[in-house]
Amino acid sequence: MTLFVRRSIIILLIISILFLPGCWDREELNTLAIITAIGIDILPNNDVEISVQEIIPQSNIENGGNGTGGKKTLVQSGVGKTIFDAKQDLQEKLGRSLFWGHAEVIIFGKRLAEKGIQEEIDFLSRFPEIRMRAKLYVIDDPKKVLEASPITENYSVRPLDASTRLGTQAMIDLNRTIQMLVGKSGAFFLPWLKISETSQIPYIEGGAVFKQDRLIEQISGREFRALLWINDKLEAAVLSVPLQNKEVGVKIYGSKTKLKPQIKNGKWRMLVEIKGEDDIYLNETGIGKDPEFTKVAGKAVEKEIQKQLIQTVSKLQKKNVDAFGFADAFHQTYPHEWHRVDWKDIFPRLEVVIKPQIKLRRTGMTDEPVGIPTESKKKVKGRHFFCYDLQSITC
Amino acid sequence: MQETGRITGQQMAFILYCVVSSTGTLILPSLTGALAKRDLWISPIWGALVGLIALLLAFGLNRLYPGENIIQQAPRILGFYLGKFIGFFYLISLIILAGSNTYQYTEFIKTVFLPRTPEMVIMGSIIFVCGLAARGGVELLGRSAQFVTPIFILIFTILIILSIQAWDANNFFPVMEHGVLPSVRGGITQSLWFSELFLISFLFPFIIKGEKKMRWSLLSLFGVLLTLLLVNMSILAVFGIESHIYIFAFFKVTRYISYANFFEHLDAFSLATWILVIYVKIAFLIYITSLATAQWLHLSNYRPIVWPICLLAGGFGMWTAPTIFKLMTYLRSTGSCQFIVFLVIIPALLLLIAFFRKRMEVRAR
Repeated sequence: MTLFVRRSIIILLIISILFLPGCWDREELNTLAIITAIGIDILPNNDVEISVQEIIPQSNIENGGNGTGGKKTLVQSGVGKTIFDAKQDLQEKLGRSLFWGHAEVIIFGKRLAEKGIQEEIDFLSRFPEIRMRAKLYVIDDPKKVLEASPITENYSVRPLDASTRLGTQAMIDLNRTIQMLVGKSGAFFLPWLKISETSQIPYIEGGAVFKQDRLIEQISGREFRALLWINDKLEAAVLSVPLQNKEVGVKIYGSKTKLKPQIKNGKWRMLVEIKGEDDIYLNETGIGKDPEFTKVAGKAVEKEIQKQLIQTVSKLQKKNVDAFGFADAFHQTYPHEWHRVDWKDIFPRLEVVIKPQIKLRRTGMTDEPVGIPTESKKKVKGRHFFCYDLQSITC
Repeated sequence: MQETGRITGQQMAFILYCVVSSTGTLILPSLTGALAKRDLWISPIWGALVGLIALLLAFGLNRLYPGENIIQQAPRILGFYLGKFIGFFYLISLIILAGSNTYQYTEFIKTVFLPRTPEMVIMGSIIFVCGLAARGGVELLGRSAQFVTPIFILIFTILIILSIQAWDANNFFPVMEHGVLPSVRGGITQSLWFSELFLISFLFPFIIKGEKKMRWSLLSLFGVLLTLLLVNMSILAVFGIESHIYIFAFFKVTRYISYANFFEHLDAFSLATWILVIYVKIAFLIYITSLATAQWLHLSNYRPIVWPICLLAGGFGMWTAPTIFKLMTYLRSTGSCQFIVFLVIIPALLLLIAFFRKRMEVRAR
């Protein structure tokens, strides 16, 4: 064999690497069905139904716009005895092979959540193509979210990402869910979705609290926020705080929560420390430049946080579901004491103390209330009713 | 002379690093985590102690019988028949080691990336490449390692740094909740990999004279310890106490990375670098198995038996563990014992006997 032939064979082999990667698993883009979201629910006859939101390739929309009605996504479902069967059923109905790598959202139906989602979580963590970063949600009917077609978006689940970026909501991903599920408290929570009537955009309406793997309580948006706050998942929050029968609107940001478990004389106590800063965005009270005001307003904000958080804690204490991660905090700090007690007996009677420390940083673009005549602007000092109010807040 | 190539101390260190860290970051954390649970990250420290012992044993034997490896030393220490018998045991163990590592690689690729490709193709291609490398000799291995290891270290450092934002420090506590035992148990599994440092015995004859062997090998041990420590820590910090349920846990970590919504889907990088270092490891194992077999049989050249050894390595890979499940149980139970016996306990006994023999010879004179 001449040198030339040998060399050309080698070069041919090297070039062929470019065209032949993937062996038996080679996939072309036009043989894939790209999935953006997965919905899992259970049918009345106990069969599992898996629905996926598939992106319709752009060229197909342009060519046959009438056929698809201008929609950019298509929802398809498969049914089976288990989620795995359902997935296979779905795959066989599709002409293309399912590509799960971009499925960032997984939505559980309420009925399935009530029955328990352990089997589904197991499948999702085993299946190599599903990412641990996929976010989990709960809604009455997951198909509705997948089928929604907001005019402003390419696909309906995209806005969910944006709402968590604001910091006022938090996403719970698969990894977090599994960790909470195997944690000492045996409870976890997921966001509850609702679809906006006007824009067809899904948003986080509240929360779903799970004990073991079963949904046992649907909570409101405010309670869900409290839950996130205690779990240190919240970065920002907008609150309306009552002050002197008027409202002060504040935005809290950079919030950090620390759980400090304490056991003193056999009494278990949980100290929840919240640190953050806030800006005033609305001031109805008519009090302007007054150093005392920041103090008073700060106290009022802290009190409001306490109130909201304690309400949620005692609600879940009554149900004996520790979705706050208190159990893990105690286990980490007091491993010896932990093994001597049963958390189920401790949690409902646990003393929970919320200690917020919020610093007022800015007052927006003005430092005085706007739209109130100067004469009628109030001062904190020299006004009896305010001093009285101050006392009532501090005590 | 069966091998004319020579390597530098640095290349030796890189080869050793690849041998331990390549598959040590693949399936090992999961095996360790199942035993050590929350103390997963402490286990590499215990493993490194065993690794240090294995290194010192190899150095000790090399001092008494310089320029020879364990296959050549054994008949000198124990006499012809017993020495050859021990040598045969080593050949078998080396083949099993090569086979199980090939199998781990195959399972990893098949599970994660090429589920529809037949195992034979994945396994065959890596063995073919490694066979070619093994035929190239020790110098080729040294240079491959020198080329591959910096890439591996660079990519892994970047991946670990990027994963830090997903770390949850709470996952580390409470440290040593059930005492020191779980981490030691995990350490035994870790030592299965660390004890492979004893294979330096096969490299000693080929290191250029005057190189600082001790310094380089300790540096290598330290590098391996640091790598496994960081890998185990990142796994624990990201996935928590139940992290061992993921077979390829560190791969899951690299997949989990999402930095500023921009650095995502980085698994392909980790996969590519992994293949590089695993190639060095398997090639090295096939090389020393062929060399050892040739020396055991007193052949003049090891090259003709490289391909049969490759075939055997593939076969043993399938035979030691037909499923990943069985492989994990094997590595957790019989495997740990077997390799610690063959890489630490027998060398220790050999060193002891050799030591007394030398003394007796001196006294007799």
